[in-house]
Amino acid sequence: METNTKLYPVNIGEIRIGEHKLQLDADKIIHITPVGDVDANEGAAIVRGVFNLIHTAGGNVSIIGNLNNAGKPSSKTRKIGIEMFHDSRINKVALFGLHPVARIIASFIIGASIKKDIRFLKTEAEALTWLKKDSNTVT
Amino acid sequence: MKSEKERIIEMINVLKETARGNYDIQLESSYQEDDLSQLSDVINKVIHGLKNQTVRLDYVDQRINQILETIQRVANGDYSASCNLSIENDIFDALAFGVNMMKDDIKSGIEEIKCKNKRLMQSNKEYKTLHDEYKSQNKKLLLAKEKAEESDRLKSAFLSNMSHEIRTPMNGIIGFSKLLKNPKLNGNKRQKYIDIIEKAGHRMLNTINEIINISKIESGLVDISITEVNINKKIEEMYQFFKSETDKKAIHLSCNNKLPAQAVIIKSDEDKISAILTNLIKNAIKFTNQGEIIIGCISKEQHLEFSVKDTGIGIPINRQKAIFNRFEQGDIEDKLAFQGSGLGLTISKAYVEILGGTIWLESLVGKGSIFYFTVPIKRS
Repeated sequence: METNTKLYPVNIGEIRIGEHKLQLDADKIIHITPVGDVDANEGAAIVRGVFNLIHTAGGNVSIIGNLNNAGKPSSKTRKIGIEMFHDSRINKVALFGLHPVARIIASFIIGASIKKDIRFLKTEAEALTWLKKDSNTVT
Repeated sequence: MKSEKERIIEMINVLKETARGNYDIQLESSYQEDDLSQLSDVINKVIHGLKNQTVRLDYVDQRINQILETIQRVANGDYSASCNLSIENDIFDALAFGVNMMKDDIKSGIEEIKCKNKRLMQSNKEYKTLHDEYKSQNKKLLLAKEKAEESDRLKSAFLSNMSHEIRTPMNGIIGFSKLLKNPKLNGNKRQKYIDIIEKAGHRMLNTINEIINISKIESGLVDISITEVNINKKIEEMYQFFKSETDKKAIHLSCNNKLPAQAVIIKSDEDKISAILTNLIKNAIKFTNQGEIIIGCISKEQHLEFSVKDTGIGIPINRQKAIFNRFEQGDIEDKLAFQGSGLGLTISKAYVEILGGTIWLESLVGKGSIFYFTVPIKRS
């Protein structure tokens, strides 16, 4: 895994990797907002950033991914992301996006993942509602 | 102002144009607020709607064709192909996106397979090299085993032969010594038995000497004593020594000595030269039943070349190198037919090489043999 893409902590609980953003909220949900294409180096940096935020959260987290402005994740990036989702400290993963491209990206990620608690929804509100539900929902 | 008929004709013409696929035509607006004006507006709206649909269909057609073209190129193995994306993020962009990601996955998968194939081929190559090495090693081991077994067999044969060479004369000595104790033995018989005992003793001594000599050779303990040697005199001595023996077998013994006067005396080890000549002549006598034996010597540039020629049984070509090995006689099919330890030629070869010369032979089965050896010339 390349280690030369830098993480830029903005605040405690917020990290920037190029145009991409990671944020930890009060409900221990990590918001991932990719903007444009994500290559393997950036993907690896995002994973490092997520693990940093998990450490900051001090426990188990959920993840919400905003795909509205996401570009094409490379094959390697998707593999790295899917491996990250399988970390035992990550409970649920919700991906959302309004347009068909977002749905397609989510399909590729969900299709390759063996994690059951991963889902695609249309809006951020729907995604957050699902994440905050107590019971695990199977996709 | 146009008449109603003219306005209707105009509408018909525009509709005909539209039917032909011309959507850029419109009816002129009329200021009259009547049913024909309303109809004219509706016709214009319909034409406009048809035009938009056509544009949309063209767009769909174009996007789908572009995606199909990409799929075809990928199917033909061109992984540089990629579907174009727009900023609309519409269904066609989603389709294009999906095709692009699938293409990436296929390409990634194929590269992984190629990599694995390459590693497999490399492993195969290494395996084949190892396999060939093992095969070669096995072959060498097999040869070594065969050689060891052959050596073992020859050693056993040698020991058996040695045992015979020592026991036979010893039994003769003991046996005839017992017979000599008979007080009634006549003089002739007594003398005969004494001769036999003497011969047996010489034979045994010869065998023991050869065993000691070969042991010295193999231990590197052979001494060289360089003195002046008169070659003519030496050859004459050999002739005189073996004449009676050859006469007994009715073999003609002669010398073919062609040394010029200045080459007659050299510096060398006289005993070694005697031993070599003695052995070769004895062999010639042993293996010749009729005909002649010729002892020869000629001077070459830096050495003297001795030869012992006979009309004996000859040596097969496939045995001519082996006879210089210890333990072997020329014809191993009939080992006990000829007396001897089989060490004579081995000792001769060792002595020739110690003196700095070479030894070789020419032979034909049934015709005879010529043994040659050289001795470097060191002038007095």
